[in-house]
This record gives sequence, C-alpha cells and structure tokens, in this order.
Amino acid sequence: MNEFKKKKIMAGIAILLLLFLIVATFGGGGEISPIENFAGKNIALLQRGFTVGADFFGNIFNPVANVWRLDKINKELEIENQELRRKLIAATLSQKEMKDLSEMEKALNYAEMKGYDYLTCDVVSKDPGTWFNMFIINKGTSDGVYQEQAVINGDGLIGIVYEAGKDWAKVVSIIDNRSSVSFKLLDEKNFSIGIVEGGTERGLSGYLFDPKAEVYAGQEIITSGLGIYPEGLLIGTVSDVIIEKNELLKRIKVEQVVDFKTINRVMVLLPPEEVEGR
Amino acid sequence: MKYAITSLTMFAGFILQTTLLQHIRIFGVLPNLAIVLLVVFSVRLKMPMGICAAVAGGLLQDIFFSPAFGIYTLIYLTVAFSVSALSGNFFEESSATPIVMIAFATICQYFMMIVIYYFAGMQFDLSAIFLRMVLPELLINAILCWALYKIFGRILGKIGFESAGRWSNE
Repeated sequence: MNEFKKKKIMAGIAILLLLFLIVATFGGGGEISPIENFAGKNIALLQRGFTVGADFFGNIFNPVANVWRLDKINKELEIENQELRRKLIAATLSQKEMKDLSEMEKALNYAEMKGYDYLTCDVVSKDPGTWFNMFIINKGTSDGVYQEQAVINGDGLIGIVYEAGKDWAKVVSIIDNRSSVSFKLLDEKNFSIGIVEGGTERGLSGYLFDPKAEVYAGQEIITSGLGIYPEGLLIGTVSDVIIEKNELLKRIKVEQVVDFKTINRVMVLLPPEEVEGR
Repeated sequence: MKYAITSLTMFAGFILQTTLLQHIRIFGVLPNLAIVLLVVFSVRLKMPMGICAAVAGGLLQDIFFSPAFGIYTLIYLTVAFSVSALSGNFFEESSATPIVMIAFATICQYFMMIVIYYFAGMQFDLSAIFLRMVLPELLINAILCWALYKIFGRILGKIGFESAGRWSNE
C-alpha cells in the first residue's frame, strides 16, 4: 500500500471517529468527562489569570477610550437602575400573586424566598466564536454546581449551566442560539406567557401564546417558572411587537437586561434540595 | 520541536481569544485567532503543521465551548486540508494569498457549522448569519491574518522553519 493510500485511510478513520464523537456527545451530557475535566481544570486556572489581567487593564483603558460616554455617571445610573428594577419586581409581583415576596434579600431579592441559595462564581473565559454565547465559570460539582441550574447577576437572568466538571462548568447564556426561556409579562393586570429564544440576531426574540394579549414596547418580562428556569427572574424589556396576520402568535423582540460583554462575576442559583444537602 | 511550537502557538492563541480578545470585539464580532493561525501555518508550512494546528486548536475549543465533542476538530481539519492543498496554487509571498485563504477558511468554517447544526436540528436565519457573523468576521480575520502572515513569515524563517516552497503542491 503506498503512502498516499495510507494517508487517505487515516484521514477517513479520523473523520469517522470525529463524526461518531459529535453524534455521541451532542447536547451535553451533564457531567464533563475525566479527560476534559483534567484539561479544563488546569487551563481554566491560566485563563482566570488572563481574564483578571484583561479586566484590570480593560477597567483602566475602557473609560479613557469611551470618555464621551461619561463612564462614571453611567455606572452610578446602572446601580440605581438595578435597585429600581428590584423594587419594581417586588412591588408588581406582590400586587398580583406573590404577597410574601417582600422579604427578598439576596440576588434579585429572590433566592431566599424560594429556598434557593446562590453561589458566586468568577467568569474564567468566554466563547471564542460569534455563533454561540457560552462561558466558563470557576465552580463545579464539588461546589454544588450541576447541569440546568440557573445563572444570574444583579441585573437579571444570564443563562443556565450546560455541563459541569469538578471545579469548573460551562454556562450557556440566554442569547445563545440554543437557549429558550418561558416568560411572563411583568404587569399588574396581564401575566400572559410566552417563549423567548436567543439567536443570530442581536437580543432575544419570541412570541406570546395568547395572540390577544396586550403587550407594548418598554414592558419588562420575567421567567414564568415553566420549564427549567425558576420563576421571577428578570429577562429583559420588550423592544418591538410584531403582529403577523398569517400567524396566530404575537411576536416580540426583547432587549436583554444583562450586558453579556462585561459580565465577570455571576451567581448560580442552588435549588432548595441542594442547599439542604450541604 | 516544530509540532510542539505549533501546538503551543495554538494554545496561546486560544487563551488570548477567550480572555484578552474578548475586550476588543468590533461591532460584537471577535477575530477568530484559531482559524487565522491555522491558515498561517497551513499556507506557510503546509500539510503536517496545518493538521497539527487544526488538532490542537480544535481539541481545545471542543473541550470548552463545543455543543458536541469533535465539531471544531473536524471543521479545522477540513480547513487545514483544503487551505494546504489550495495554497500550492498561490504565490506564497503575495499579500493577497493570506487574504484569499482566510476568506476561504472563514466561509468554509461557517458552511460546515451550518451543515452540522442543521442536521442537529438547530434553526437559524442564513441572511443574519452572513451579514452579522460571516462578513464582519471575515473582514477582521483578513486584517489580522495579513499582519500575522507577514510577522510569522519572518519569525518562522528566523527559527529555522522552512517554508514548503513557492508554487509547491506538496
């Protein structure tokens, strides 16, 4: 057998092996394999160092680069905005159906009421591509982080744990192509539900199940509690409403509240049974 | 030694891509350092180093960010094979060579991703992918690739990496 044929056979075997691996591992297995775990644990340490350095220099140079945006004032307004959003959610929910939510103290003043605890994690690295929107955090199964736990920050919902290793985990953000979140409108009178999805367009897009539901730009949406995300987490603000006569659904575009470019610390919500077990 | 340097360069590229480069997104788009380095190695050093770069870059990306293990390795291997084979028809020192090659590599990468994710049942808007991802990334990659191609050409020559030669089909 000549050299060229040998190379062809080797290339064929490599392609078949890779195709088998792709089919076998698609969608994430919940826990990361030992080999990935070993590689991920060690590389994540290095990545964390680079991220801290990059954040440090980013924090120094970004305000200089964006001097016209008056960075300092912007940050103060963001903090004030977060506080107002928390108050708004608390006020609106308590009026409608969750009167006992007044004791909200932790992330989004939400976790404690539902029996959730939260785990603060650092973002170690972010997806190198533009297709997906995934990032790595520095906590894993040894800290109680498992697949399908919600990830939030002070602004609102960020995403969900996709796979977890011993000391690190992959998080898929809500603006990722694969993401789908059940929501309801944050409104005193109208709690219509629907689905928002990530995608190739900026922001989120989705639809309301009830075509007659009243929805307008500027309305805020929160998780409905249907599906894997717990109820009451702020997702974003409706930026556009599209009514298509041929469809029985009311389509919306949503501007997410979280700025995914700047996240470097997040909180993983630990379900009640997980908290009790610790 | 050559394989070690190629793999380490891909590793360093991956670390930079996932950490520092996240701060310099242009219109929300990142330059794809992995595919840029892959093209540089595939054109400058041809097949064996191109494949080495593809395996190193692909495995790293599969471990951390792939929805299924093997997707990026398969894509990068295909790109390395194609670019190595095609680049034999181009004049290696021409400034147009890295730009044409990176344009081909970026489109090839997205084409393969679309095919794989289509069969995985994902839905996407092709025009949005082209206008918001492929086109901006292609432009940024082209600038980066042109610069790195020139820089690596000099470095590789200095450290004794021999180019596969002009007009070579090997």
